Amino acid sequence: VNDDVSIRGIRFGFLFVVALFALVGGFTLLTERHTNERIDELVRRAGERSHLIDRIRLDAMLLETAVSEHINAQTDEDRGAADEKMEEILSDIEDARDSYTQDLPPGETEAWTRFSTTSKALAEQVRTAVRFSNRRQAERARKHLEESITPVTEQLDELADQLSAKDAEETQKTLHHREDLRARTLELAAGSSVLAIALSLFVAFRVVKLLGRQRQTIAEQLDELARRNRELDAFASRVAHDLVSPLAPLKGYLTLIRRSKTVAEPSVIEMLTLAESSAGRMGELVEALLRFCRAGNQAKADAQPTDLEATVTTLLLEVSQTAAANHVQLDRQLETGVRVAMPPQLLSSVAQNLLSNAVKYSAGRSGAKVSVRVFAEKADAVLEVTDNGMGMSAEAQRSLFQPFFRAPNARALPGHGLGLATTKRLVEAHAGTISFRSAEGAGTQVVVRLPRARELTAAQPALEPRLAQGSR
Amino acid sequence: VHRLLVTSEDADLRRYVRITLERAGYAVNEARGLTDALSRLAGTDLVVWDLAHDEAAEQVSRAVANVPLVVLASGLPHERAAGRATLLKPFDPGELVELCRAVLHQPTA
Repeated sequence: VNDDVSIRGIRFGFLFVVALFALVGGFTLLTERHTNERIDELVRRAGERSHLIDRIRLDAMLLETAVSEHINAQTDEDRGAADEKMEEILSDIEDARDSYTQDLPPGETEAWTRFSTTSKALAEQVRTAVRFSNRRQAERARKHLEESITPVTEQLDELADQLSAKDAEETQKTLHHREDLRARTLELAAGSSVLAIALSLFVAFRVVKLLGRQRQTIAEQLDELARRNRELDAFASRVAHDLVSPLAPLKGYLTLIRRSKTVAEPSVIEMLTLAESSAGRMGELVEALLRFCRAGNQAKADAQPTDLEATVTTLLLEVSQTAAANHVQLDRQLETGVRVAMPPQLLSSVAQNLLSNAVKYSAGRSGAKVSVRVFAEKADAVLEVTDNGMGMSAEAQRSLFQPFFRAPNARALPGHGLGLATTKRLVEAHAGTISFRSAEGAGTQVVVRLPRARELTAAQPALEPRLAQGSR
Repeated sequence: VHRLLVTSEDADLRRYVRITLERAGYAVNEARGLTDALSRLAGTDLVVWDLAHDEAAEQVSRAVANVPLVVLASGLPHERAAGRATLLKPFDPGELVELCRAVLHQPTA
């Protein structure tokens, strides 16, 4: 429960860190984009305004020239043309002034008002000069141009300079603002990164601690399992000892009675045989029980590798008589040089169990056949025994490896239900697996996979795997 | 006539071994355990020892020193110690007699 809570906490921590990073990243990007857009707009407007100021400046100079032309004009026609030109320039100044006022930052109005007033004053003075010029008072007009218009133009120029400077200053300020904003965003990102890293470290620390605790739990459980196996082994030895001790005299006396040849009555001899058979079965059962309990013991690390093909070949010799007597055909396909780290007698008992089961459960059927395959597959040594015998129902398959289980359709046949359970324990104690496929009435295939032995010492060079095929 | 000593905690087994060996012509004594056996060891030609579940064959072998030994044990065939005269229970009475005879007639070191 505690581990569950920790895992939930760690998951939450990770999600939080990821969310935090995403949030900070998103916020930074958004702010940057927004700021850039604003700056671009400000710079564009500053450029426009600077252009308008230049236009007004140029117009003011042109206006001076036009006034001069008006004063110096000889004909009414020339005067009219100069008038027209001046009106044009004046209206242009007015347009520029209006354009400038649009989108003007609030702090700039004072400087602009002065500039605007001055340009209006210029227009007034120009109109006054034109009035003098129209009344043929050229000298007065010229004087007015020099004394009133030129200073106003100069003032206008000066104010324009101030405005441009102010605009430039404004742009500079905006750029500074952008730098400040960037620095702040960076600080925020750095801060949240540090927080995220700290959180990650904390989470990683918790994970490592949790894994350590789980590893310890697993080690404890393995110890417990080993302890229980030792207990079971000790118990089995005790049981075997205590069961076998009374069995020895029982069987022994039966043998002595038979050999004394004092029993002549056939029915008594038959009873004697039955008693011997029962005692024999009890001996087998005790031995099977002992084998089952011992099978779970850990494999010895220094176990000599055993040749699977040689083991199976020897066994096939033993089984072939039973098979022939029951009209079961034995097929073999054995790859040589496949070695497993398992003592010979244990490997032999595994193979024996599979083979004798296959023969036992296919005997008596027409065309009964048992196929044995030995081969290497990657790091595994594989023993595969296939029969076309009675097979098992789905229900029987579920309980197949349970000790003392016997399939309903096999109960008439001899056996005590410990063979496959023992084989499974043996195989698993040697880091192997056992699996099977079966269909009722069609047959069974059992596959044992054991890790191949690494070795092959210098004295036994690795043989090129070769298939020894044949059937009998 | 060889004098044999049967040691076992189990009275039934002791008697069975004694009867079997007496029928083969040996003089047989019984002992109930280690202490009992050691007190009767003098003049014994062979000890037939039924291992108690907490006894090891090596330990018994040391205890009887140079008296020949046949061990009766419970266990699996492949667990038998090599080079030691051992019978796994249950055993055939004929096998016991033959093993005892073989041990008695082998040249002692």
